[in-house]
Amino acid sequence: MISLTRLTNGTLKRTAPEMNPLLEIRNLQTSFHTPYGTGRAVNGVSFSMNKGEIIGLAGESGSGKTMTALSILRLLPENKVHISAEALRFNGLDLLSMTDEEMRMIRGHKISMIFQDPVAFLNPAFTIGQQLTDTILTHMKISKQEAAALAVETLSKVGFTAPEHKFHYYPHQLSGGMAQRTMIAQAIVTRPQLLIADEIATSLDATLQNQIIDLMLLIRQELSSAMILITHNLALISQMADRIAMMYAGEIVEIADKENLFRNPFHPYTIGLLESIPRIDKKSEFLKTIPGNIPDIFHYPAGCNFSDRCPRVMEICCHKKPGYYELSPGHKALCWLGERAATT
Amino acid sequence: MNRILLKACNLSKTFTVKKSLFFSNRMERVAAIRNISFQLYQGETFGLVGESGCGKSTLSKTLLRLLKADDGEVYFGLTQEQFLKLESARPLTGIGDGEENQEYRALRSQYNLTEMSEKSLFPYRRKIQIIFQNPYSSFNPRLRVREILEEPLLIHGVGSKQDREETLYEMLEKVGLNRDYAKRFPNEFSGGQQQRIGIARALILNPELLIADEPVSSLDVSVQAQIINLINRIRRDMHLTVLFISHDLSVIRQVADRAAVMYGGRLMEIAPTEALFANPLHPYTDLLIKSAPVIRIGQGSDFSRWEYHHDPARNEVVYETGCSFRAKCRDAMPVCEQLIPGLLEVQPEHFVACHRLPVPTGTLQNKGSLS
Ligand SMILES: Nc1ncnc2c1ncn2[C@@H]1O[C@H](COP(=O)(O)OP(=O)(O)O)[C@@H](O)[C@H]1O
Ligand code: SF4
Ligand code: SF4
Ligand SMILES: [Mg+2]
Repeated sequence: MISLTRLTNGTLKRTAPEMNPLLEIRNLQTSFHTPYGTGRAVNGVSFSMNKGEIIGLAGESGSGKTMTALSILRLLPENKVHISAEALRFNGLDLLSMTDEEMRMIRGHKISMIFQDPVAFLNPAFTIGQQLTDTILTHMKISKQEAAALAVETLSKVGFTAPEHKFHYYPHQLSGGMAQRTMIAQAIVTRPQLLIADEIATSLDATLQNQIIDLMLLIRQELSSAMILITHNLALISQMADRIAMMYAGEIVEIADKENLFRNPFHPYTIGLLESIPRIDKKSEFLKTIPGNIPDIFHYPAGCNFSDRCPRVMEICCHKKPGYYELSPGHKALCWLGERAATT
Repeated sequence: MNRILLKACNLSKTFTVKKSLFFSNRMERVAAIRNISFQLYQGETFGLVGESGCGKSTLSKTLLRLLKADDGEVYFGLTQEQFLKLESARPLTGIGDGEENQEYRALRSQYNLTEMSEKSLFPYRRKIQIIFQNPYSSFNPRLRVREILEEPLLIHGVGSKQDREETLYEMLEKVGLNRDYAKRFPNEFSGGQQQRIGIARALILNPELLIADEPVSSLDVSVQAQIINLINRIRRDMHLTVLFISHDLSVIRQVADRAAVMYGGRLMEIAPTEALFANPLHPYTDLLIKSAPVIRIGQGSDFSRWEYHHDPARNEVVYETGCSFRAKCRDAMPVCEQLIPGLLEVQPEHFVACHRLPVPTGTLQNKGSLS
């Protein structure tokens, strides 16, 4: 039985009120002020997640995935960027009204982020053990020896053999997979409640990807951390996430639990993206593509943001913004086709 | 089978890296590629797949001599007669290195790209072109697209000013870019458009071989599909031979006629692409295929992964002896630690390097060796 609910623009009605969401985001807007005008990078993103839940944030580069994450962590320069939200709460605490000092304690301790390019975030002048120990000492009141021991333990947890020995490695001595593991070690050493990972396994081959996937799932099992996994690789996210949010031009255009999203994709953008993935199980003479480019953050089309690329565009799409339609419990799409589905 | 355009024999390249940054200056030698032999047929797209760091880029750079190989030969564009002459002069394996054979030495130094002079190599630089994962880093950011495309024509002294203009506008159109873009700077373009500019620059000299090193790896799937389609179309139009490098086996399946699988600096398997997928004979190929997730729309995603001999940390091990894949191999035997398996033709055009395979009657692509 499909229940369709017309929801007001920008906000998502929750199907079942969650008791204590770990993270609650309502109508998040992030914009850049420049001499050329205001660029809107995040355009009313709303979702909430429970403790231990893994959400995949998927979409093309430039769609606002990383900006959403950086806004949650308030890692953007405040003089150039304006962040607003009806709600941005972590464990019930309002992140937007926190002082910088309070925010610093949350970052790296309660919420950790793993960045795309691990090598760029490791200091080439210090061993990975020293860097891990330093992170521990900033967040925990323990002795240097205890911190070093914890660093070794964490290295072994992320899969280093002979961690006491690897403790003394410099970043340049690490292979791509090892560097990624080191970043993961940095991020989990304080046992955060929320881990945000930006494109962590995208550039690795399938076997190494699977090892990182297994590692992330193991971390969730051991630390019960919730995770936001950012990626443009849907195949990769399909193996980790409980729910998937598809982003396009600063908006979540479709959100559903993983099985539902792949079984019944609804939004034309989601369908286009799924169809353009090269498949390992068959050769196609010509791969399907989505023509055109994502709009830049200064110039959105009138009406639906996807209207200039959408194969199913209708008249209304070009002048009026669609709202969210709930296609089945927890499965929502930002598309006028939702209304048509409602009347048939 | 078509004529052989490029033949690589026993290519090896070792890097020397400093072991520790400050405290000691111990130098360590890291073998990036070892004993690589394969050939490219005219007009085919040959896929090269393997995890990052396995040596794919090193191999492509030694072919072009952007890196100097320590050992091995690369032949390009020889006629069948020249090949025959070379092969008949080549001493039998195991009987010296050919040092004693005057005729062989002479032919080799005449044709072999890895040992010829910079001057003799120059015309080959025009015939072999390369595109990279991040084209932007190979552009001079102060040059406009027009100048970026004109540069190779100038270096190789091609055409008059007017010819060059015409060629570059034609090329822009061929890769699906607007003529007006010639006036712009590379940083004004998206990743996909930059890769199109990279392709235009590589093809403007009308090369015979295009080496594409992870050309779509940093692009979004929808853009990735556009670039793959573009490369597929252009290679037919221009009768190009393409060496397509990727860490993603699904991409290789879409583009390649034949493919090679690389691990730890060595080739594990070479086969026609469809045979490779239908009948992978090397345990690593099998693992790669089974590790790749499959998404079927309407049926949900399929993540039945092969449970392999799992010890993530063993990745770090680089072996100097025996089979480089043995730490991950479900089939490893004692002999795999001592003997490097040779790449043998076990079925027509299907080469595999693995001790598990029955001794074949086919030919030896390169010899296995002790230690
Ligand atoms: N300039 C260099 N100096 C030292 N080591 C290098 C250099 N280039 C590559 N390597 C090493 O050689 C190996 C193969 O690298 P590469 O050919 O780039 O692999 P791939 O292209 O398959 O990712 C890696 O271990 C890498 O760290
Ligand atoms: S609202 Fe219209 S243009 Fe937008 S995705 Fe739906 S059908 Fe396409
Ligand atoms: S040679 Fe041995 S270790 Fe290597 S792939 Fe074959 S069985 Fe496995
Ligand atoms: Mg490479």
